[in-house]
Amino acid sequence: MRVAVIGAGVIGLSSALCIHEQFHDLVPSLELEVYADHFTPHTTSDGAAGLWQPYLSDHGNLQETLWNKETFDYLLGHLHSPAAKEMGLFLISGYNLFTEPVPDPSWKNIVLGFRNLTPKELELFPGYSYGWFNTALMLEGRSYLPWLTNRLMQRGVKFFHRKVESFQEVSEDGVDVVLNCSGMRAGELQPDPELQPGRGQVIKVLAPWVKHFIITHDLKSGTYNSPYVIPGSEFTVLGGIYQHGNWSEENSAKDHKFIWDSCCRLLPALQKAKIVREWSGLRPARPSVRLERESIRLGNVQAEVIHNYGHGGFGITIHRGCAMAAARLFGTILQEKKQQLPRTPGPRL
Amino acid sequence: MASPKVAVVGAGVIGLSTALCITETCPSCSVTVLSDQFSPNTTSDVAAGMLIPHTYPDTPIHRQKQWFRETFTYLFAISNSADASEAGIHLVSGWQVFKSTPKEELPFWSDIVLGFRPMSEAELQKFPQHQFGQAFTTLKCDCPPYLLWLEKRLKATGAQMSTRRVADLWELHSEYDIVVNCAGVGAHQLVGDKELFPVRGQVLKVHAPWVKHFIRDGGGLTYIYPGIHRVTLGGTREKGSWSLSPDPGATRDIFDRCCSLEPSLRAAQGMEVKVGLRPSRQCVRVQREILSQGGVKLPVVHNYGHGAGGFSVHRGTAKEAAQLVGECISALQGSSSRAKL
Repeated sequence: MRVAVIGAGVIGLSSALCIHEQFHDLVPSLELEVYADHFTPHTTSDGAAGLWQPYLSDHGNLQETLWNKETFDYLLGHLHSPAAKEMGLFLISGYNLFTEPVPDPSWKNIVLGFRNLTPKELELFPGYSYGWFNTALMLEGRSYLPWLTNRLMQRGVKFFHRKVESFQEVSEDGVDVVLNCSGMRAGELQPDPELQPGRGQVIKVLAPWVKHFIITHDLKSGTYNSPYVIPGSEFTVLGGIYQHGNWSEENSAKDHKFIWDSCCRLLPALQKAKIVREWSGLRPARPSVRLERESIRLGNVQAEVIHNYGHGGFGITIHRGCAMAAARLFGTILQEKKQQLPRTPGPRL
Repeated sequence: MASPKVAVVGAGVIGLSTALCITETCPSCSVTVLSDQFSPNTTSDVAAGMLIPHTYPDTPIHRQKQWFRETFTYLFAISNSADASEAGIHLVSGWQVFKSTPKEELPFWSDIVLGFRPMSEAELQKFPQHQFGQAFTTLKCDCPPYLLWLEKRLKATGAQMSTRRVADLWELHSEYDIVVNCAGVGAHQLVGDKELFPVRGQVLKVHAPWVKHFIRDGGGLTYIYPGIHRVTLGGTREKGSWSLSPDPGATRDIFDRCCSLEPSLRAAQGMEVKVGLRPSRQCVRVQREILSQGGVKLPVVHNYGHGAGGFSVHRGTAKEAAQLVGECISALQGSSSRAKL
């Protein structure tokens, strides 16, 4: 049984790992292959700071909140494991700032120690009159993706550096199940007008004295369009850009100025920080994550596709929950295929 | 007295901050800092510089609280300014955890640090051997940066700094009008204070930049304090030991204790071992004294004996000492005008 995973960002690699971990014992003939034109450190996941934090509102999407929780709990469970450093996983606390009171977020009981900011804490952030403090997790893509890749390679999963142009291409090649984890470019495999870029730009600086994340919110301009500062293990990420519908992956001088000026206003100490890198990426934004099965008739074959894309700016936050759900869908496909076979002595597919 | 000449003995955090306060309260004073050691070779350079007060048994609590509040307010403003990284001052959050619930659940400083509250059950899961904990946000003064920044501010006021080993305060009476004794553990010898005793502390400084929180075991013996570039792991408390040599057995023990609080430290790199002698005393000596010898008087202001809590109260005691220097100056001016009558 050949399974092709398209995409090697956090979604593709974690889905591949979940499927291999759960099914390779049950399906000895399972051959898992990862196809991508970009691998770490050149994926969207590598550009992200890696902070676990969902959007402020889940828009009633309880399923996504559950996947977020599953991811947080999974990561928290690994915090004390010897692999934590290699995974790029560590605890981090910080501030969410608002100019007016807001309802508590769906994730307030998922993170640790969630509370409102005290008046004295708010003195640190002139212009903001309300906020939260909590402890969350960082999962740095530039460590996590190599870690996932190593786990997969140890399991004999094969990697192919090539761009898959269509589902038909892999299906005709004999692949039985396709995992579509193509993120931003899923539309090239199958048109999806709901999938739009949420362009972001970040400046990476050296500011090791910053120990907290600081995320400001401007409810009028929307998510991520307000400055944020996220300290990683090596660099601190400054951001605050979200441009819906903008496909440009070029750094913009105007956006640079906005990020730099607004972050320095937020944290005056940053004025002395040395800029190391600048990067732009496209969040694969969608009103909700597309995580579902599709049977596609491609020529003579019925191809089974599991879609797992459209995670916007919360891919790292939700990845494990989605990977497990994708694995469950895979299990269903396996079950169906088993039932289609004539009964033979001998145990397994 | 047009320009009182003030000598400050000691160039650790107490000496430098006291000297700076004196230049602030008495701009006409000419201030010289004298010390056999400057940063990075002072006791302060070994310390993590965390603003978590040590309780002095014989100093009234309201006074300790005032010192801490002044220090916290002063550093809070710096941490929020463009100077923060140069001064080495930054906010850090974390946890103080206890194996059994402490008698005093609310320390006197709980309303001065930020966001102080008991830890939730979920947070305590990270510390399976501990039953109770407190979460808060406080400040850290990284050394050498903080001391170097104080030195820079001092030089900008015209204060002088001079490497000199002072064996006796009387050496200074012909050159200086007032002497300020911030000799720390050196006061034991310098002024023969038998109430001052060293408490030897060994620490490890490691590279573990993913550690973003402090963790302190309630007793205070074991702690993890992340600084700008290194994490300080501690420690030991050896009362009466004057040894500045690192002890390899203590190194292993400190590392193991810290790893049991924070397992990810096993992957830490680049360990440096440092030793400092906390200048300990039942109460901090912030006090005026007039030394007298053969008809000659020498006004002295003492500011030493901060033990494990130097950084936490440094600015508060420095201000108090500077006030006492002001009183010495008034007294000198008073007696010199009396002399004219």
